[in-house]
Amino acid sequence: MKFKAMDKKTIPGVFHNNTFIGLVLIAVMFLFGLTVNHNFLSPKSLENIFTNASLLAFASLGQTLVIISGGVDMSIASCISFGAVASALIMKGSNANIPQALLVLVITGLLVGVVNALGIIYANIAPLVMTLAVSNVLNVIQLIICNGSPTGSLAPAVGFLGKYKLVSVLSMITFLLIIAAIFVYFGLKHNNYAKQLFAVGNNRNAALLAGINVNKVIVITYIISAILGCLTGMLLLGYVNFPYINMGASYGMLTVAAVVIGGASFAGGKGNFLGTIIGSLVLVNLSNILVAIQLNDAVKNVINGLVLLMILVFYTREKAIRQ
Amino acid sequence: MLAAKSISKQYGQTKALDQAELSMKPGEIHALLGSNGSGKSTIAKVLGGLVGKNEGEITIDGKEIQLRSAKDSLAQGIALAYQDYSLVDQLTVEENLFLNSSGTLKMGFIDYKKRFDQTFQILKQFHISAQPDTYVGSLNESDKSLLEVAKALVYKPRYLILDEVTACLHRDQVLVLFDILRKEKKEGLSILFISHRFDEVYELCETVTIFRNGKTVITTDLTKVTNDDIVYYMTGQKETIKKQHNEKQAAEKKEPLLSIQHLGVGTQVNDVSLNLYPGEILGVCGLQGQGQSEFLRAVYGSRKISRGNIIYKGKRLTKFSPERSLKSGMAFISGDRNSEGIFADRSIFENINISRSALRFIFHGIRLNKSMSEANQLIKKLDVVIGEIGDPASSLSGGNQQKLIFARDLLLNPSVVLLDDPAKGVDVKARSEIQGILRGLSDKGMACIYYSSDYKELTAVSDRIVVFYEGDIIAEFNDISEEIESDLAAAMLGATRTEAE
Repeated sequence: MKFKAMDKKTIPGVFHNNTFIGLVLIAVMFLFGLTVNHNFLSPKSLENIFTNASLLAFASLGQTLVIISGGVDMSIASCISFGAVASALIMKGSNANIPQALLVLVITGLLVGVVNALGIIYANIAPLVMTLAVSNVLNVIQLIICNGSPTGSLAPAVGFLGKYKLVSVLSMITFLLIIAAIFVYFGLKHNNYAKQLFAVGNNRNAALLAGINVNKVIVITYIISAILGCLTGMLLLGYVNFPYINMGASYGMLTVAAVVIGGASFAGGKGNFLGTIIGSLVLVNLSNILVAIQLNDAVKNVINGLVLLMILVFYTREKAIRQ
Repeated sequence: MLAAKSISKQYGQTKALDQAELSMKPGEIHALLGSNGSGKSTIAKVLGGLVGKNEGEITIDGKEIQLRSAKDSLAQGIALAYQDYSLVDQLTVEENLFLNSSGTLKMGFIDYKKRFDQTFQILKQFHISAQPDTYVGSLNESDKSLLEVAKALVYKPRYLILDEVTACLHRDQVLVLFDILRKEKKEGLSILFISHRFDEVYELCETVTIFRNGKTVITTDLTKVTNDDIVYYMTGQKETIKKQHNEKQAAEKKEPLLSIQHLGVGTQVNDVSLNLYPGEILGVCGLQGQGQSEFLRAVYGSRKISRGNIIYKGKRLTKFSPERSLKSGMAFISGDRNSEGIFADRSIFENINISRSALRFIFHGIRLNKSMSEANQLIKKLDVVIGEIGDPASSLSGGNQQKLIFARDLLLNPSVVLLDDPAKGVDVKARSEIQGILRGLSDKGMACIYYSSDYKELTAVSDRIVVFYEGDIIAEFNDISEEIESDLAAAMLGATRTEAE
């Protein structure tokens, strides 16, 4: 009996452990990258990979929570775009304006999250559709506030966060992400909200009967996601240096991919931020390798899609559970 | 004549049918009676081609036939109307009626105009208040039941099997349906009528077959048997039905902990009043769908109450939600673990601790060490067999999963626990352990309302039993012993009501 139980835990455990396989995958990618480009693992190149992956991971943090709850948030990209454009507009290159910018971003995030959640809960609209609709509205608002061409510039403090290098491969952004990851790790383990979030995602009926205020949990989750999206926009502005329209557009599907590669289930109830970080690294690595191979864009996209498909098929396989 | 001879059907370990015999003659309405799990629905499904038999043969007019699918059965002229509908909600009434038969063809194409007219006629005949292009999803339960019968008749069968189709019908609808069935009978249709309502069986049918534990006990003319005989054949125990009242005992008890007055829930619960006293286990008995589940959920606050009052700990409840109920010491345990109890992917610890988490401030921290040791104590106390406390709940057996849900509620020290068939699909050992846990807690003053579909389970655990029938309490038993089991079985079928009328 005891032997059997150990068997089940240790042997397939490693191969079904998404974190482990993710790390192996990243190592393989590094090696492959090295064969394509000798400078692939130079400090400068690594720093670049880590920083880009960190930005993606920041954008995907909210997505992780939303997917755990059993939904999906397609409005994150528009929050990033809005966050970048709006904060440049408000900061006007001065540190003194940062509090106002943060206030506007948080309030916008709050509104976006509440609208998303209310549409999903009370109008019973599918999360994908509801958040896409809100995303379109927010994109237009982004255009309206800057009359179609972004003005203003980032405050020096934000530029410092976005570009400062601590040590050779460790940028400020990566450092911030590590702090956030530690915070989230303990938060997910020790916080009532996290336990309720997982429960809601895993079995909504049971959550309701167990006394959880399901609607409250969902509203909070979408609010967190939208606020984090807006703040990521500010960070992205710090990294890129100047705002442009639809800056965050490419992050939309990438956040979903990062979370799913990270081992979360679209059915909800499963997922963790460490997995999402690994997922972000995998995605950024993949795109860097494809750039290094110097193929034309169409072939690049096809390979990108195929590799992602392979990763998802082999990597998110479930260990059979007893029913 | 359609005859099923020595049919046996095994589902895993349980024998649903054991050498069962059944025959249907043309121009006859034949009743099939039996208590829960006696194999009525199984034989219906075997004849409908949905379930393959293990042994035995089915013949039509002496020739053996093979029924491998519903299509085979329809080809042989056997149509089945199901208790839980074979209708597609997203299609219209017309499309549903002609789902499997195109109706009249005109030059190889469906004659839509004629089909529409036919549908219109059928709806009129059945008094269904819907148009042919109404979506079935928007119909109410009783119209769906009628439509289910109409659909079976569209196939123009020679043998029609009706599996508890009257369960959701109002009296006037039943009369309409019976008129139609009698007319079809005169034209030579053979009907098998499966029902739990004795009065309807007497009204409609001429002959009856009674099943008990998958075996045919008797086939006879209905004029030759009395109500008591039928109960005897169904339960195997000869007892007359007597409604017991023991007001004295109730008066001796203290103030009720929970007092429910004239509670109504939609159409499922009409008017239920009962008192629950501290330290009491109140059994609720009844066939499926008599309103017990809705009643328990309404008290717990997960279903809306239409009428009536609930007085709990001396105060009238005005706002209802599971959250509030749990906060005030009222817990609920569903037997439907997979969809309403367990968080299969989450750890055993989380499953136990979740209700406590739910009742605290949402961003409150969890003191893992303390909570873990409390959870471990409960696991020991309830004797839950687990690997590690961090393993997912799906690693446990059904009985142990159910104990986890008990542990979840016990962590909150509830004063009332509402149980909706908690031992469903749980093996005998775990079942008696669960009952032991409840007994132990009720000795300490906790009160339970315990619904089970199995009356044997109730007589083993309850202090008092009420019987639900069609949304009302029709009988109450105060002296619980094994002797009342046959009375319970009879009351579950509404027998006392039949006598009173």
